[in-house]
Amino acid sequence: MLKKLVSGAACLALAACGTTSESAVRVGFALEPTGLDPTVTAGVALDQVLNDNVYEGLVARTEDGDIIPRLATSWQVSDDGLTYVFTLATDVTFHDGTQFGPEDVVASLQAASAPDSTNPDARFLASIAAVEETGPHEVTITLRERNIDFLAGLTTKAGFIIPSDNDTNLARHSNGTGPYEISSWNTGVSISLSRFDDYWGQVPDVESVIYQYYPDAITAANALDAGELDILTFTTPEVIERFENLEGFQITEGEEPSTMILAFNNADEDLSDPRVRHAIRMGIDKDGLISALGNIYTRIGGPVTPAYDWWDPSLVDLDPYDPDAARALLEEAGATDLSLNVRIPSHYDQAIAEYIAIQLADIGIDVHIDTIDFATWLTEVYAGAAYDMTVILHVEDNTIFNYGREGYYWNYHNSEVSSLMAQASNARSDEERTAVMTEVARLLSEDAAADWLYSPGSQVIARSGLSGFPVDRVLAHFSLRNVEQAP
Amino acid sequence: MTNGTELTTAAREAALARRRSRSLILLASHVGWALIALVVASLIIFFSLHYLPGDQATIIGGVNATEEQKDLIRQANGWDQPVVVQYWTWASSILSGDFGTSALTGKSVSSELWVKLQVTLPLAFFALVLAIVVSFAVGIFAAARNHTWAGRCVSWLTQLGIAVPSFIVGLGVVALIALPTRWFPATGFPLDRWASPVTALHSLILPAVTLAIPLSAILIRYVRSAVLEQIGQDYVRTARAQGMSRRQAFVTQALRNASLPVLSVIALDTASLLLGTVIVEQVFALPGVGYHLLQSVSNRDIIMVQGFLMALTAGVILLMMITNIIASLLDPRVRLT
Repeated sequence: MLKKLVSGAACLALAACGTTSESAVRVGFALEPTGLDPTVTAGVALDQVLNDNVYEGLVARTEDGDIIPRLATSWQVSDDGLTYVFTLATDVTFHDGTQFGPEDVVASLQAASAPDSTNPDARFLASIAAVEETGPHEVTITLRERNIDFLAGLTTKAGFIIPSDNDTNLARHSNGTGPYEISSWNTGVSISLSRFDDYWGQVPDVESVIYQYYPDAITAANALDAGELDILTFTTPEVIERFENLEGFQITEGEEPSTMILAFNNADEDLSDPRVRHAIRMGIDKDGLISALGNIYTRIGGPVTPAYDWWDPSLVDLDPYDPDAARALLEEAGATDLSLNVRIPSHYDQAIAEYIAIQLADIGIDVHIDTIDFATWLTEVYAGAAYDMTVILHVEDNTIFNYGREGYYWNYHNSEVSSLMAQASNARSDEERTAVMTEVARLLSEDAAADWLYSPGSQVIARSGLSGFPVDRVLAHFSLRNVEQAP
Repeated sequence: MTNGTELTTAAREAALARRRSRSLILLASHVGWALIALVVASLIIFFSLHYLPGDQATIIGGVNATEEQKDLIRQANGWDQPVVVQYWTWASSILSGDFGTSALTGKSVSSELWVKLQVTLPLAFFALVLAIVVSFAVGIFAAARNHTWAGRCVSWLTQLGIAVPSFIVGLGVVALIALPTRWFPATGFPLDRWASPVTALHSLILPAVTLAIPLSAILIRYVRSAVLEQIGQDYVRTARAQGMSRRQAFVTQALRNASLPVLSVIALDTASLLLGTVIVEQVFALPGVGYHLLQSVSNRDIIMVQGFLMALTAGVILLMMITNIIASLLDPRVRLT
């Protein structure tokens, strides 16, 4: 009896200390993927799990956005920028044990770029005309038109290589070439990855990685504090303050391409008048908003953040906060009795919409806040453009290109912007592209195509002793191959 | 039996047959009502979720899916069929025991439900037992010390317990107990669930306490007033007059009678207890039924939500049907007519 009691107490004590084994790292996220199959499931949450951890492309992207070799050890681009010849890595095996070869690259990329592809990232490979096996370790890709973002497109889910004769159910298991494979998915709670010991490259230090999902930052912070989590990738100012005062944690700050915007429906009669849009921008004090939200976000004046080469800090000086000038501009436009809605997804801080409503009321615009859940936002605002203004966080890379997209929910048309976008994507060098994109960003800001509220940046809190985890661009990627635990 | 001897055998047989057929009719009517309830429930569940704003194909295909891609997704899942056909396909596969498979996660509804119930049912049960034990102990204490400062203190605390929302209680429990002492996990449930019952139970202690606090607060007040009412009754005085001690009279007489009204309140509060699990599961990041339902609604995993609701509703309807049948078979008015 005594023995029983003692062993019971030991169990309790063990459980109380958490269930850390030597080389498991538990990472906390807010958004869980809706599925595991990269060929059909959309959303950045799945990228955070799979991209470069479980599946690999011919090339990969560093945290800084640079393109580096992965399954292709090197490549050559023809002078006209239309032909890419890739030399493939050898001795690569998939998780199911089959050998990697050029036929897998051909099959994967052809399927992803086909007209009937359901791959959510298919548009990034839309410029592909043909993919051919041109040698035992060589693949040649021909493009329809020059595209400076083609290699970046290969780092999306559309560029993942899976075996040409794959018979693994990708919704439940993984079959990539990455250093980790999916071992289990406990919906609503966690996705566990285990190290693939036959990995062809540098085998990671950490044996298993568990993605843990939390309904809010406070619950996640409690888990981190209690030793049930090692890295937290989403925070609030309150959470950061709490951990700044705690021993045993490191807080990192990084750049993020994402932007929190107040999007205008430019098809709306009032909002199609640039004077009204400028007045709204002048009526909202962005510095005040950022400080009200805890002063951890970056002020931006256009659709570009410091994470881009074409970041232009001088744009924040356009349409400075000036309620008097805003009122005058509205009067000039004859929009003195304006009433607009702001539709905001329910998982954002509602204070953002309230702040905007109060400030716009001050310049004479009656704002009605409409809180909706994200699925409704997707259908009604995104797909149906049924809104006047909406607060939304764009996390994907290069949101700026959407200002040149026909039929996008902003209903923004600017022929000058569209032609410059085409010019940027056909650019012959990064410098040329950067110059054009800088111009595009200024044009959009000068035309008040939206009001860009801030860039959230990335804040990661990790247990001391951990290193090699991502710091920049963590909202859309989270490569864990370099994570190390101090002994 | 004297009555029986006067009856002829035939008459007795006839009476028996009447009674039997009465029972059969009764049984049939209970089953019939349950079936009607099931059909109505299935219609409400299917159609209300079907017309929920938020397109499933857009969720699966993502923000950048083209119309063609979304059409392919709709075709693959049969969402391009007329809604009546979709209902029929759904309802008939449920009849054959298949509650469907999520178009998003690829997981079957029944396996998910089984996994999630392993958290929610023990949690609710644990909380209920805790609440009953605490409320009887404290309620009786408060009744016995009715006019003292301790009794008034209990009334005060129960008001507080009822008023404070459970997510605040949960956050408080984590901040005041879990984090400073490290005796209990602040969040989560073991990945291997009940493989180690001690660990699993350990992770449910704080959530169960959180869930039990508002419930105990309500029950304590009922226990207290029920006991107070019984103590004042004549029979307790009689029992005392017959030589029982105060304690004996209280335990053997008053407590027994006080339990009955409290038990019916407990039965009623079980529903609110289950609702409470939704919030507590969020605060403690527990992978239970309520948390999963909420997430499935926000992901527009309609098949999962429909399946969960239908399975849970069917479970409740069947349970009610069985209890009704047993109750009416045991009811002497039914037996003797």
